Amino acid sequence: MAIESGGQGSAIQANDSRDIPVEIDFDTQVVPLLTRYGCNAGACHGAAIGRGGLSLSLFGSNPKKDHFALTRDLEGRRVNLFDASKSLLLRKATESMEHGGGERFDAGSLAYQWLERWIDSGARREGGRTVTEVVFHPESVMLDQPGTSVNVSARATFSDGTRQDVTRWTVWESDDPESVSVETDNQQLRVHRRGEHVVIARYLDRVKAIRLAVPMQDLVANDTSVGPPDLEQSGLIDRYITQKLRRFRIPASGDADEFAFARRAWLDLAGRLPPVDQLQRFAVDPDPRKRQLLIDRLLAADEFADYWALKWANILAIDSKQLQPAGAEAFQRWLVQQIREDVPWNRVAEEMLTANGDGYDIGPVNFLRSAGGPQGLAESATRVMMGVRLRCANCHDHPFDHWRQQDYHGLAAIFAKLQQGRVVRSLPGSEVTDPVSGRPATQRIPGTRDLAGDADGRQQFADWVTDPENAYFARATVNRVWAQLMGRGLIDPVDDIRATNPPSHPELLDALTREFIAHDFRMKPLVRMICLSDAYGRSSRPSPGNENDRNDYSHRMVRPLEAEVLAGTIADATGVAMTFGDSDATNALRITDNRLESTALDVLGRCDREAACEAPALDAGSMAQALHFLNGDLINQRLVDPTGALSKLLRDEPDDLRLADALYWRTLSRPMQDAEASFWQAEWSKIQDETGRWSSLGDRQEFFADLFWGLLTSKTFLTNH
Amino acid sequence: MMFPNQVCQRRRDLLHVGGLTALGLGIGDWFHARAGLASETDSAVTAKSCILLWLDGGPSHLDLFDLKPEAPAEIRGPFQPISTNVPGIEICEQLPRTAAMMDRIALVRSMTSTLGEHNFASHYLLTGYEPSRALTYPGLPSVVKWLGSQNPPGTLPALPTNIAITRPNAMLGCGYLPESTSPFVIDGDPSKPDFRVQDLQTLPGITAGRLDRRRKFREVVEEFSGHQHQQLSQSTPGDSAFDQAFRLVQSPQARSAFDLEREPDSTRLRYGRHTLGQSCLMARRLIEAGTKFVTVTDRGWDTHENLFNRLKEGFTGGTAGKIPKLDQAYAALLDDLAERGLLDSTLVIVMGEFGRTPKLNTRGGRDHWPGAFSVALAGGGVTGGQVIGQSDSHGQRPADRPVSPADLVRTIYRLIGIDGDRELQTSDGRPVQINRDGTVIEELV
Repeated sequence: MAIESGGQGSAIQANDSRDIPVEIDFDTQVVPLLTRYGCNAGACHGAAIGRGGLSLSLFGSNPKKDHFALTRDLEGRRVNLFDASKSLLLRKATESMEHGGGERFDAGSLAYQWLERWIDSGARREGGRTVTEVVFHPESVMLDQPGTSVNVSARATFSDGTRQDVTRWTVWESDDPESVSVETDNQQLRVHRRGEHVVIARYLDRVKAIRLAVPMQDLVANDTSVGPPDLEQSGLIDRYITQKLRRFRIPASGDADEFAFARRAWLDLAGRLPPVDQLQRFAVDPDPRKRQLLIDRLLAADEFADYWALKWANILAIDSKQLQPAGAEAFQRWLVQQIREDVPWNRVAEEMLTANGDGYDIGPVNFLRSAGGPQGLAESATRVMMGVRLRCANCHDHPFDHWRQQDYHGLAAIFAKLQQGRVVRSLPGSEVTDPVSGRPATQRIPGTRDLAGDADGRQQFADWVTDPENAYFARATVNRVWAQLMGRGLIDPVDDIRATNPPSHPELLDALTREFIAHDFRMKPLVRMICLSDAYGRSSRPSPGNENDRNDYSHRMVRPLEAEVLAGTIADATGVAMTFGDSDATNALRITDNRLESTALDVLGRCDREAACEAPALDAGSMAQALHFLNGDLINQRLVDPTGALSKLLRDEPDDLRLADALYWRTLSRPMQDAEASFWQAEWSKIQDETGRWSSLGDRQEFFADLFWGLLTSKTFLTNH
Repeated sequence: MMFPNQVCQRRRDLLHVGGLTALGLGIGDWFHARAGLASETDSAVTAKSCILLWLDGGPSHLDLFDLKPEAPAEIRGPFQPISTNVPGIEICEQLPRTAAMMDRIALVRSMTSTLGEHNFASHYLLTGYEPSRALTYPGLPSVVKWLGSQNPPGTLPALPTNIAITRPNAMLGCGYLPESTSPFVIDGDPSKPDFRVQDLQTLPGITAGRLDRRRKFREVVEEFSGHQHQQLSQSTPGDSAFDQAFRLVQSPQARSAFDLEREPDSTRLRYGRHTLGQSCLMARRLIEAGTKFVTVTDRGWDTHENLFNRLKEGFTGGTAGKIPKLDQAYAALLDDLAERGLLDSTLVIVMGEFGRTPKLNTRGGRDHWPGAFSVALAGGGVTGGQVIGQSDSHGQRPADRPVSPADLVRTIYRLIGIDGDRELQTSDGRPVQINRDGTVIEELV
């Protein structure tokens, strides 16, 4: 049994695609066939330079050119109007003569018959007929068991009013062929693995992501954990998260304890560990609203602005090599101010797009200085503000989205009309070349409309992109904020929003986007809402049955800390401040020059800003880092520093257990457990004499230095969990 | 996690294992057996280790190993071919030292792929898989390291199994394997006078006993904290980056392998006092000391413009460009390995992610071209002095015997004793073949 949702056409008759139409239209019937058999793919004749002498437009985006290539090039030998079977087109495709691409279909196939009919009737191209709608069915389906298949269909409506079942000519491309295979000559999709899968359906320029899913485990009778969720009691976020966990039969882990929650909130919102005294007060605070109060307090603090400006600096790839240290500093300081005052994020974006003046003084100007030219700016503006990878559309229309080359070069044309030195100002008359036409590209708002004239189009682009009705800006921002707090975007990767990369929780993303807009594009209410959800507050320990969950927030994702955060936590825990290069900064979160020389930040894995860092790398724990922790100064020097926390504790705390406990609070933000205490006691009793005394102060120092080292290099310390 | 090799081993493999044991061969050989040696063949595997010279950016096949002197000038390019010590094989005139040892080298001239973007193409060449939206595949050396790490902890080598000299291509990562299989990266330029590998030396006062204690304490903290850290470590126990670091630090012998100062000046000069030369020398030292897989990355082969200068002179009026440096370092490496009796047990591969466009562009460069390109293999039991496959008259496509990156990677696995059919597992328990789409290039094994 399959539960289907979305799409309307369950009553579609799927048998008429075997018929051969009397008239075959080139644009809407031949071109899809070429796509279906891979002829115009990027790897074959759709490559920019074609292949084997035949060049077709990628996925048939330019039928006029394709028709010319097939009927006129090569003295017209590709089609033989007197004897269709002698056409190169058919002989190559059936490999009855040598074909680098091998056999695409055989002479008995429907594709052959269609092409033969088209050639027999003159291999004409009328032009003009377009596809107006394609309904793919189903859009989303939940199956009970791996190994089950589902029937699919695609029904197209054309501009002349005719309708056609195009299932057979639709490309059903599985993201992961080992998980979903296309079977029975395009009529069925079979799902082989549990979990969620995506198949991209393509007919002409219409693409759609089909979602297929199998729950993570079989339904167990009388299992209360998968019963209907108590949605009334849940907040907006948990309503959708829990709903999906139930549908996929993934159990949720329990709540994180107070210590884990506080550590997490501090790390996420302040970029540092909770100070021990505040953490201890929080732990014993009986106020049931204490989590909420903590979040509010952290959001109001300067650290939030410092830390989140750093996150955005990584996303924006603010680089002092490009902007000079003065420009980078102005930019980041400005971001700190915007975040501190919770300026609506669409206004922040608008300012970055429309600013003029000296980048050393005016922060947002530096956005326009940062990408190295109009094309780079077109790419970074769409990436940052829309979460879109427009880059593909530089050389060809985007294969998995609706972006066309004129969108790319049209947006670049907007940014071309700028003087982009230290001072940014409008510079009418400058142009970029549209590589298709070879003429100056027309300014264009991507996917929307051309802008007339030579006037600076930035404001118009800014108005469009930051409008509440814009389909991208708010979603992309919400998705990024979510990813920062939850470890993974609802759309992942966060800079690849497109119709064919569906969100893990579409309704949740829609709802959060509406909330974000309703709160006037302000970031803090959104952060607050996420941090107060059950999903945010869950333990990072997997429960049986959710160990493999990566996408559904059944347990908290464990993430490495950013280099700058780690530098601060090491300094705080050891009580020995860090210095960076020749600057007098001791707080790495406030460093605005990413090129500042610092072995510590390099070893800890700072973003090099050559490219944007949307999140710290998941594989931050390299062997080079391990070697540095073992033999380098970063930690070792701080263990013996006479002004450091350990030296002070060794002097002031005669009780070994209390000393060990203090080190736990400083590093793991929790008390030492009894079992841990017993272990350490057993360890030091091996060294102490029978009366429980250290034979020398040096022995004690070394023991606790090694214990502290073990805490500071543990993954528990090095991660946010 | 159980590694399913015992289950998969066929009877012939078991006999093979028995044979090795009876001969009393060492751990390295046992590693071969564990990794599934010889399930596809009866021939003995001689390669114990591998050096990959990765020419990052895409080296021009038409200007290195597959010249087309008969082609029109705009295709032929600026260089002439020279003969080699194998009659009938010609390579670029800028590779005289290499030409003099062609009998050691097998060229594949019919490499072909459809991926012309750096990352996609690099992923294909370095993993044997085309990039997939579903799964990131591990680089070849990570697979080697992972298989090696399945040996009992007490037998693991002090030197890392997978070392990269200078920062490697980003596609040479661990993929779905644990992060601890990533290469140990030697950053910095080994040709600089003050170069040394960072943080190998323990601090005064940190005795072996204290190192052991620190190692133990760290593990204890981890265990009591009870986090499984799945997303980070992909739930694998065993050979973490810290374990590897501890082993390296505790072995003075292993550490000394990183010390180029121990080489006589004559040897250092022979390889060339440039980054690539000294990187190759470092690779030889590491291989000699027992490292399984060393990747040397040479950047700057993405010659979209001014190809002649960059390949020959480096810059206008310069003394050595990309090709002469490669010639010096590569030839010195093969010679040095041979003199030390290591060439038969060390497979040396020279490749990049694709070739370059047959037609020179208007800026005197060549753009990306995956349609046909060349790879050179030597040592490790490969029969030298042969050319496998031809490209067509303009170097556009294979004229015969097309070889895909998957084929090449499978062949490399075979040469170093790894069965491409063996299955590994992703962290969520999904079985994945080490190599799925390739066929072994029989001439090479």
